[in-house]
Amino acid sequence: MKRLLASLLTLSSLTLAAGCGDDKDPTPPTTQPPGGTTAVDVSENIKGDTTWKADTVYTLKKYIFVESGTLTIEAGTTIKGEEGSALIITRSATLNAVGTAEKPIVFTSSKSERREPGDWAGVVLLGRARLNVSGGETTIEGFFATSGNDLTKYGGTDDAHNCGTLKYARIEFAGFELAPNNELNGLTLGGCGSQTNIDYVQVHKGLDDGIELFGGTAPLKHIVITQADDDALDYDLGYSGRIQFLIVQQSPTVGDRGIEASSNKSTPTQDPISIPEIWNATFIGSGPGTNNPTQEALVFNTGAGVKMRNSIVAHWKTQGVDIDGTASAALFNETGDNARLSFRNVFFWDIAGSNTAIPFAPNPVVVNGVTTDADATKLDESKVVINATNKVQFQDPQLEAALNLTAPNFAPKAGSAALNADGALTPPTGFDTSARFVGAIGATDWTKGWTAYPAE
Amino acid sequence: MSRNGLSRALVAALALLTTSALAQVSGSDVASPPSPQGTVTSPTTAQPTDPAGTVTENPSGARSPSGSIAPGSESDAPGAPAAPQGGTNVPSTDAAAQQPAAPSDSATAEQPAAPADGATAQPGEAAPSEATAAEGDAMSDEAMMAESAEPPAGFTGIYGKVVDEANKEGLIEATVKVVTGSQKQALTDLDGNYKLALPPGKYDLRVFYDVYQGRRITGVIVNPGKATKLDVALSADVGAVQEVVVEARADRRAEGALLQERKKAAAVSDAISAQEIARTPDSSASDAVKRVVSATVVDGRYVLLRGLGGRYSTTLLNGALLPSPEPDEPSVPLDLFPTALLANLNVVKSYTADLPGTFGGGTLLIETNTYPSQFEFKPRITLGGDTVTTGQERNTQPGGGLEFLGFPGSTRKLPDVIPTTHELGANGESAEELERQAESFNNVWGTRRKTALPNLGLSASVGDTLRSGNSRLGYLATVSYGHKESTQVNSIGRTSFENDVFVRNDDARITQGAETANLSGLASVGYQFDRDNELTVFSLYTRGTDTRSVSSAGIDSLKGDRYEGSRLQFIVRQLSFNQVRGFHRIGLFGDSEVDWQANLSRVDRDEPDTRDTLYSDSLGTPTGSLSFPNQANSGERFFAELGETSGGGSVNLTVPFTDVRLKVGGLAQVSARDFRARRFRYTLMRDSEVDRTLPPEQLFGDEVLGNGIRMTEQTRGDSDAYDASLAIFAGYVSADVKPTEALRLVGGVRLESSRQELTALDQFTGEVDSTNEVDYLDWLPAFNAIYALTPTVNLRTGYSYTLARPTFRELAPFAFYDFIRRRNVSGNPDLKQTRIHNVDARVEWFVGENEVLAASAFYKRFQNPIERVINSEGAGDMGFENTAGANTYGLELEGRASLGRITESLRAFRLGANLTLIQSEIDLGSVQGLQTNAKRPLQGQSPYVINVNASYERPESGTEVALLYNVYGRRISEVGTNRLPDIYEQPFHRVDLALTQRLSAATQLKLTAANLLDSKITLEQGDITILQYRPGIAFSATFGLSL
Repeated sequence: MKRLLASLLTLSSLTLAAGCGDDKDPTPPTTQPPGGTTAVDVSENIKGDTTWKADTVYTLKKYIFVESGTLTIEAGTTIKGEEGSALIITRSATLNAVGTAEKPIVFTSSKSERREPGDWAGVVLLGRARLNVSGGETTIEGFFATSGNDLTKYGGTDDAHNCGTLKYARIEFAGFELAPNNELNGLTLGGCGSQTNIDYVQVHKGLDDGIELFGGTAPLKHIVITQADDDALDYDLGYSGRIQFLIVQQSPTVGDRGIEASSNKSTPTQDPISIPEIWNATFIGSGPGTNNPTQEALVFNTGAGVKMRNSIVAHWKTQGVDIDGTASAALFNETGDNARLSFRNVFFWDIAGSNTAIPFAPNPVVVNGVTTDADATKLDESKVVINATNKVQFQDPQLEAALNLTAPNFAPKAGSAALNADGALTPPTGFDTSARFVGAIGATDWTKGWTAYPAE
Repeated sequence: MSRNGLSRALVAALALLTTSALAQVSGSDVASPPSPQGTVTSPTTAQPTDPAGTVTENPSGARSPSGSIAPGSESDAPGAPAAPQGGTNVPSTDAAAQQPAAPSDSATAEQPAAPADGATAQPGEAAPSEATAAEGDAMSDEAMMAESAEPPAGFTGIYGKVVDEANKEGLIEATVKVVTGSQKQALTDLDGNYKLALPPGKYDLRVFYDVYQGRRITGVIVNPGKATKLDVALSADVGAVQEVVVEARADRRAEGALLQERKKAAAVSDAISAQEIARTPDSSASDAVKRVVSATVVDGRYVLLRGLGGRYSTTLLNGALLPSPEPDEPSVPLDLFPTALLANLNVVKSYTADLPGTFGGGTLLIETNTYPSQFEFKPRITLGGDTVTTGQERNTQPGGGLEFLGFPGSTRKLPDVIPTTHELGANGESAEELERQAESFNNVWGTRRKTALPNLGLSASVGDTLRSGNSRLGYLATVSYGHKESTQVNSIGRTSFENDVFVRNDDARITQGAETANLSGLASVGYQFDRDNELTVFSLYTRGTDTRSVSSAGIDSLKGDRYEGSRLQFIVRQLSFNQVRGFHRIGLFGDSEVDWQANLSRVDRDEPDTRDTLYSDSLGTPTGSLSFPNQANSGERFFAELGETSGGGSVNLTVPFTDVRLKVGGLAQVSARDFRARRFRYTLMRDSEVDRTLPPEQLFGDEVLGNGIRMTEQTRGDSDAYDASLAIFAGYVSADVKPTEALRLVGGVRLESSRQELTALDQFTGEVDSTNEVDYLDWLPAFNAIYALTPTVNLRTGYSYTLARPTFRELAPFAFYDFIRRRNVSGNPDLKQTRIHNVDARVEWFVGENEVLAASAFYKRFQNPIERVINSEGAGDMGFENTAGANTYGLELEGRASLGRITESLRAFRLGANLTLIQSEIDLGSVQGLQTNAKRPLQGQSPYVINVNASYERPESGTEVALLYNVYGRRISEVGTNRLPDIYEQPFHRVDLALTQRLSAATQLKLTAANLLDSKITLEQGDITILQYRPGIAFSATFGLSL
């Protein structure tokens, strides 16, 4: 079925490849575009500068690689993905997709009803920033990669690499699970560097993780990850960018971790290790009543760390912070404000049914089925994470409607301690230094207008 | 599965053809030639209780989850060649390369000569006779009389000894034939003695033996009541005697015959005969081949020759290229061939132009049994077991139907309500319809436990040669059945550098219970029109099922989980191979010979309904109960079918000019493969509130399906179906000259053209997703020189420039999912084929009958070798690249001798040993990628392989004892990535014992024990053991009857 119109699709995409997306396309529309006037199927890779117009609905028919040049997507453009399709900006290409709060760019399922996570495979940006794998480059997860094919490779030595701009955009019902530990996510960034601009992006109902970052230094700002199938934010292989204004809301049915942080499973201390700096984040679980057996807010393993400041972690069924493995534990045991796994000014609330302590997460060592060490890390989260000196404490953030799945409001109510500037640190240069509040939203709700929370 | 109906029909037809031929023959005398087109019988008639049932052993191939090697788990008795002693009357295409250069003198044109019906004196085997007569009625008395060298008093006839002129050693099974005055003939016994009971008179005799020059002795007079003694010395040299007869061929199942062939061969070769295999506990070709110098076996199924596997080891069955029933492996799994079907395994190590051009480590020639010269019927039964399985609890799964015979039960197939013309749910089915479809699957997920039964093997063979005037018709049919159970308990782990300390983590225990059933049959009918023309029709059918029930429990530290999982897997493999071979001597240019073969084969591999479950619990915040995690590899069903049909033929013409022996020939082989897979997965429905701790049979059962859990199809449109084809057309010419008496030069060139096509398609619509085509045209020169230092010492050297092709998979411009190792394998359409420079040298001294000392050296330079590379960090996805180059060089030493050389009293003892030393290095160059080492040995190559065997034979009492030892040096099992060391499989010391004892004239007992040291399989990464299990000590007892 997918290839019924193969030949016609080729025609239309040739047009696209020539950068003339605004031409009247001879292909008959296959869907009734809701907002635009034209429907175009995209079934060929893009080579060279190309513009996708707001008056057109583009349907991705397969994995579309932007092999070179810049793909410009106008504000208000809708891009639909069919089963088995994705948009991949290779490391030789750039994305320029800038929407507005009023006219966001929307990537969504091509289905007209019963839309669900994994309807299509998502958006992938690949760059040349550093990773911590041998040889410095690898093939991105979730692909039927062809060896010798450079299109799926990422990594390099340019920590400033610019994968492009994705601003005011929603990615819905995306993701692809190729195999265990081998998935595409709603938005996947591999080796994107510090010049990359990901701002005002929502990933809604993504299969596997919401956003996954493999290495690199790409900054994320104004990010909303709602109801991902597994983890919300997943980083690995040495990701160390700046993240500010991040909202995570988990699915009560399937959502697992708010953050799954990994660095390198073979050699956890291998540079660069994964230590992003996260300011003003709000992590919302599904509360103690969720049907999901476990829901852990922040999990660090294989040598990953974080510098988390001014953030809220609330309503997680089983855990607030879980530090796995001796390498990550060593980062936590570092002292001072520059400890590579550290929390400052973080509100915890409703963690494993408690408002006084988070649970202990043991790291048992097992040899031939016999537990030889009950806890290899010798780190008892229940005793060391909550720390008054660091203002890491149990505090009700008093959010408006953070658990609402279809019309959430992550802003604190008036009078919430989260809005108290004295309870927050001042973000350093490189961040929005005016954000003297705890959590993602201060006085202004930046999620308004461009986000959406469809159930299906 | 949109399996091509035509191929189904073809398979059925081939199967029936085979079985019908088998069914034709029975235990009684067959008065008329059995027709291969005889009565059609259902394959299921070969019940174990059927006297025509057969002993065969199951394929070993116990594979650990990480794909390691499981040698030594076989417990069955080897098929000592149940089959009779018929000579290989028709040379196969490739074997012809090693046929001795026929002397140019023309043969006598009197009576049609009998082929060397070699009643090989299978030591210990209760062969009633060691000599045969041309007339069946005369057989029995002569057989008795052949027992002693001196004829009894009152014997009237001729007796004597046939010896090698050079060393005066007796020649076994030389033919002494009366050419005038009678039609009798006799074969010499173990010591070269023969007797012919003849009425008084004057006779002309012809004495001949393969690779020796025959002699004609005229006017031998027999007086009444007297025995005339006639000793004959045959010379291995050409041209010394006036009359030379070479129409006989050696029984190629005998060790001595193979040594003789090797001595005369143009190329460097090593072989193992059925006679030698019979002395081992080996049950299938994959077991037996590891006894050959420089051969090792990985995964219990695939042979590596000189440390090179896969694409570098070509297998020919009776001279025909065979397709592999494994989707990811270029080579043929040798456990498909029970030893009962084998005449010999011959490894050609230096290339000659008449072999297919894909030549790296060597070419394995499998020769199957032909037919015996006299009627025989040999049923056999084997019982066996091993110390880790038999009588103990093992994992199992419900099956049903005739699965114990190798036929899948009906519950495994894709349910009829599942659409085959479109993806599940793609036609707008209602939720109710989808639920009904999901509920139609067999709702069995977990492993069960049962007590393992002893292994059983049954086999029978029947064969005869019928004579009429100058023509003769021989047949052989063998059926065998084997059933085997095994268990394997692995302890596995993963390594990492934690804070710079190298540690083992992610501990898991994998328990596998396996059950294999193997059913196979062989039918061979040969018709010799006259001395110069012969046709053989050969049909082989083998099928095996492999039922694996795996349970696992361990820790996944990356997910932070404790888990328990299961996999139920059932695989059916079948091979049907049909061949017609012809041999003609034509009166052109002296005595030209034409041999040809045409073949049609089909392989299938079906994997219906592999089921995976995995339940987990958080390690950090344990809930105390395992629950369904809603992730890949939990709640999955996988169906796959692969079929390949191959047809082709080859022809060789040998023209013995006066100064040069010219050989020209050609080959055409076309094969087509189709692969289809479908996958289904169970996932949580949105807002599902189902209890995820329910066991899978409930969670995926009728009540929950559609009510919290649903099943969707996850078949991949661009990689789960493909069609592929390979066509090879080749021609060659080679010349064999003897510039001096001692020097022989064999040179040739082959032109080989090949075309590979692979098309990925949508299995529902048939629409093509992508296509890849590659064409090659290659010249392959080969040159061999043999210098006879003395009549028993050869010096050999050879050079050739050969090739290795990428397989279908490796060229595909898309990825496949390797469902065995659970990772993606992606092809590379830019791959170039590999060219290989081969240089060989050998000195070999044929000390005596069955005795040899040899030393060889080789060097190979690979240009653009194709290497597996890991190209993704997390998932370990694999791809293929041409690497900078590789070198491999090695040394082989071999000796076989009788201890009778030391003192005559030790004559019954024989000792054989071989040692292989190989060094290889591959340079990954720019494609190193994630791999830890840019330079390392080739994957799977052991630096050394040692085989030692000691045997004791006492023909008088029919006793034979063999003690065998095999060890291979540590070899790379998996390449290390991301700074982790390469994973090495540690040496496995294997000691086997086999005892054969004749019980009566027609019965024999064989007892074997394998892996007596109870060695363990161990995989190490750095200094950490990451996988270990114990295959156990295996025992078997075989009772055989020979009628």
